[in-house]
Amino acid sequence: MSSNRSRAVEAVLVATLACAAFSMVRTPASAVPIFAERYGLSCTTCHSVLPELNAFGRAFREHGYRLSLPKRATIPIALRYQEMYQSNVAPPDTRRTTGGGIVLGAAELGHVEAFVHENLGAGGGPAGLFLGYLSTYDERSGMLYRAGLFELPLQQSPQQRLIAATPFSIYAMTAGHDDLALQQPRLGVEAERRSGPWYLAAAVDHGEFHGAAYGGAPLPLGYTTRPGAPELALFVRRDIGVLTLGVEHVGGVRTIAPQGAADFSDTYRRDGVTLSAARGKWELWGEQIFGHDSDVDGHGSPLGSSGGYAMMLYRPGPHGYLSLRYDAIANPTQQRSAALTGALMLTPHLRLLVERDVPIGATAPPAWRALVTTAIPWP
Amino acid sequence: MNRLLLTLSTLAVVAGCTPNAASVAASGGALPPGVPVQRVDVNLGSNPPLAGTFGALAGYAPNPSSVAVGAVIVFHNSESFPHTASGIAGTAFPAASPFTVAALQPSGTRLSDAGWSSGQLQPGAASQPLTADAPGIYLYGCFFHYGTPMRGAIVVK
Repeated sequence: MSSNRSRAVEAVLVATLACAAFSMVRTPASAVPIFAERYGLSCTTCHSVLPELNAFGRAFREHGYRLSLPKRATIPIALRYQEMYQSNVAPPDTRRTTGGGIVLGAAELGHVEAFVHENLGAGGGPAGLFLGYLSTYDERSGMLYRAGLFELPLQQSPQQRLIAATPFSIYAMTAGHDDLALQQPRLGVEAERRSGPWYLAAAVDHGEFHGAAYGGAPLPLGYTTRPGAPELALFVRRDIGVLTLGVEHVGGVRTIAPQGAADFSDTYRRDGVTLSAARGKWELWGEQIFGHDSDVDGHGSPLGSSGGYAMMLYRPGPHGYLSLRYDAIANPTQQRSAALTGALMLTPHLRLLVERDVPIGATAPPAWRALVTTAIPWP
Repeated sequence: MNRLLLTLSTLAVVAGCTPNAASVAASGGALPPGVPVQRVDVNLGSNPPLAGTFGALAGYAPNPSSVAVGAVIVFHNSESFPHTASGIAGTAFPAASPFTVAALQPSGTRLSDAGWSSGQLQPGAASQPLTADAPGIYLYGCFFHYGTPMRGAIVVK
């Protein structure tokens, strides 16, 4: 608790100093670091509720972070800071606050955009590069290409643009000794294309980042894992009226190296279906994934896994929302929970998110979580 | 609009279903009065390796545990990572993990049951009660972190 608090104080000091430094060297500018400043837009253009992307923000990303607008000079780095409060944590503490900061960087290199997300460490975890990729958008074909360390284009951004305090269980799910979860950024190449009602994405990768967007203490496993063969990921979605339906597949081979025993390989696949709908102030999101692993323990044992979520979201105004989410996984032990979340932009640069997480059928008690998130430079 | 929302809600309920689900480990249940209960804390972060008679042990406390015949053991995961407490046959820890994926599901009610396991204990969860039904030394470990070495011993007298 005390180390978390001192780290939080340290991070606040760093943020304050960085903010002061920016205020000395910059003339008043737009709200969102880097991209908004480049085009003279406000932060709410892409983020109705920070840091989640709205429809314009998603389209902006799919076009390689480029717009047909006059450009201005920018400072290529920014800082995002998040302070999290949790109740009912593991003994001996009863509550905990954890601060985490990330440095975002973006720069234009001709037709290529370079993007970096470096976490500064939190909760006893080390700092590290979370995302780092080059992207380019081909106007003629409508294709977006990315190469480097990137998130899979899942229906919900699992870590970087959290819309809730608790992770989506299905994105964090592992299977036996195969510890590769969907939420971990991949090292490889990816291509995306939106064509009319269709969205297509494919990725090939041969590596990944273990850790969290804001850092976090890693737990030693006593064994190591690495890619045994390139992983292939495919995502197809189609708009049908207010509905968007999709299918997805992620598959590869994981090599697991236990201590005192020979390496073994696990051939895995994750197949899923997605659904989303939006009408007025209401949104509905759902996803179901089925997994299969050929050998998760080195004894040749196969393992089936599954899980998903359903989330109803209501936006009473442009800069806030309420959501009710049901999560479930089985790998093979089941874990179910419900989360009621409220988020509100207190200022154009400060989001407050409060969540009540209620495990279902488990002995863990319900917990409160609260997040305050901001990004600088401010206008 | 209402029909559409009803249909979507039904689809949403279908999402998140878990056909591979195994039953969750019992949380301790009602025990007969007077039965001594030994709670074992399962936490790799707060229980670092200690060398002793059984070699390096970590991740469980107290470790080793010493209980009388008839006592009940309950494992409680106080960490934010999944763990198991799974029985190991024999009198010494093997160099490599002896566990199969069966250790991820709860099984057994007595320490003398072959292959007993708490199953995959999620953060905050407790295992089913396991009765120390016969004198002896019972070794166990975590499926995920056996090499760390997350291992434990229970001495039943």
